[in-house]
Amino acid sequence: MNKFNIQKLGILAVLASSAGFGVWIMLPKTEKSIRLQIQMTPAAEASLVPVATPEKSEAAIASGSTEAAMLAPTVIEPTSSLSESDMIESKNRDLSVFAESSLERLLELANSDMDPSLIESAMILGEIESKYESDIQLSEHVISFYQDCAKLHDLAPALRAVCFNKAVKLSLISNGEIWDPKEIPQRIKELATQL
Amino acid sequence: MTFRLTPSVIPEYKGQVGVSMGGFGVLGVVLVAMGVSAGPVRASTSFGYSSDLASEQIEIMESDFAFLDSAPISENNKSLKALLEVSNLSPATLRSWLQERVKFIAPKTFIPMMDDNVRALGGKVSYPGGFSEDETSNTNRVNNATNLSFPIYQAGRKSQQLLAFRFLNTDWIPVLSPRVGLVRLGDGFFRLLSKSFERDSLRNPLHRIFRLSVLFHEARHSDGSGSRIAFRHSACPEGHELSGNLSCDEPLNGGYAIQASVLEALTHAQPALDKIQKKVLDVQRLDALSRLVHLEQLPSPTEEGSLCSELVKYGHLPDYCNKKQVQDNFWWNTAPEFAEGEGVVK
Repeated sequence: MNKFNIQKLGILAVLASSAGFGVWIMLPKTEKSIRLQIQMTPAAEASLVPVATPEKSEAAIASGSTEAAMLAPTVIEPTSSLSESDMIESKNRDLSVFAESSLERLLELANSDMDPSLIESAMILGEIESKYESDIQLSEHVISFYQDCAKLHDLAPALRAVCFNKAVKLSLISNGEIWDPKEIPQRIKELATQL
Repeated sequence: MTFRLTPSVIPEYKGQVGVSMGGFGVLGVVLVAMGVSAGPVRASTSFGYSSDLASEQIEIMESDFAFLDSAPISENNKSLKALLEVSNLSPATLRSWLQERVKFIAPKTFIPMMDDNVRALGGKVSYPGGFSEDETSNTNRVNNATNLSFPIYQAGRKSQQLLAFRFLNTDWIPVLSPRVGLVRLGDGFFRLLSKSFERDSLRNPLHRIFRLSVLFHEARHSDGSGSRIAFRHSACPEGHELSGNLSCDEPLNGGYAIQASVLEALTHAQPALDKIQKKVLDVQRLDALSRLVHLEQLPSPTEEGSLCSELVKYGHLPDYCNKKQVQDNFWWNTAPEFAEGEGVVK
């Protein structure tokens, strides 16, 4: 899903972060922008290398090619040499980039005339859930993603309701507190209870 | 003049009976003689298909039904039971409920009054109640399916004539009620839900559940009487995402509510669905529920794992979780309407 954007954003984020800037993205049609608050330390240089597909990487590694080193993926996989905190940070960075690009994509879809935009958006939410939700170390970022998503006015009510449902449930698990901002319409909340 | 709804046999179809006029039978309507038939039905098929439908589409729909037949539907789904007004839930009751309301399947090219496909049969009939203006949805979304029974019945009601429709491969089928169950498939019915899916995905559980839910939605448009005939959609209210479009439901037991409930029941019956597929179905379900004008009247589920049950577990009871009781005004009578006339024997 959306690999191009994720990779592009990943590289952008590395460049901007190392230069001390946040990244702003102007979104089409809505004239809105969202701040990409990417919490990250500069990534290894390998991540700035044009990204290869996993298949190419595996093939190169399997063949013993010297290209293997050049074909490292953008997202750094944790290795046994990394400390636990490094691993968590790496995961957080991965999620952060993924989440922000997902929010951007959701807004793009919401403002497009593409008919199955609801389905495509649902798939993004499904991907977030399947990739990140089970990792308790990432809960803060995941909750934050769902909260941001629930607040996006341009999204279809069904999508906002899914996000609200998730944000509330994960907040409860995380700290026992209810997340119930006034800015989210009652109708979205009522819809969320049906899930 | 009298009318008879009897099976007929034409060369490409053999046998009958499958669809017959079950709904009329249940309601005790007996129609006698005069060369009007209930239309041909291929033996062992679930519906009377127009010969203009691609054989692949018919095959997919039949396999959708086989999928429904093997779905382990939970007997405990009170919401679906209430919506369908059935005392027990099983694939057989779901199939029977659907087939009482959807009997004929037309392709998207079937436009009533075109190609000599609708005509007055003659004879005097009277229609109960008045009539209202024709309504069409004006959203720019892709159409999945349309129940054409009511528009044809309505046209007959306006002109006080008994109208009938036919496919190229059928005799004339009288439209004495929206229960005649003529559904036209739209562009969206056989579409891949995402462009990232392979064509084979049309036969996966995700797409089967989607298509079945659409048919159950359309089935509700065969119900109701008087001003509430066909459970027609209403304009979405101001502030709604689809404000002004005829894409919402006033009652809590209309097509969207049924679609949502069927989506839920069939999703729960398929534990092998992956998280992304489940999310797609969840979002479709909530999208259907978002069309309920009086959503605030819908009780919140309290089953383990539901949002409100989780909140209660942690000692919270926000106002949006308050217990509600569905009022009669939001639950419409589903009994169907029938025209009455000479020779139409009840």
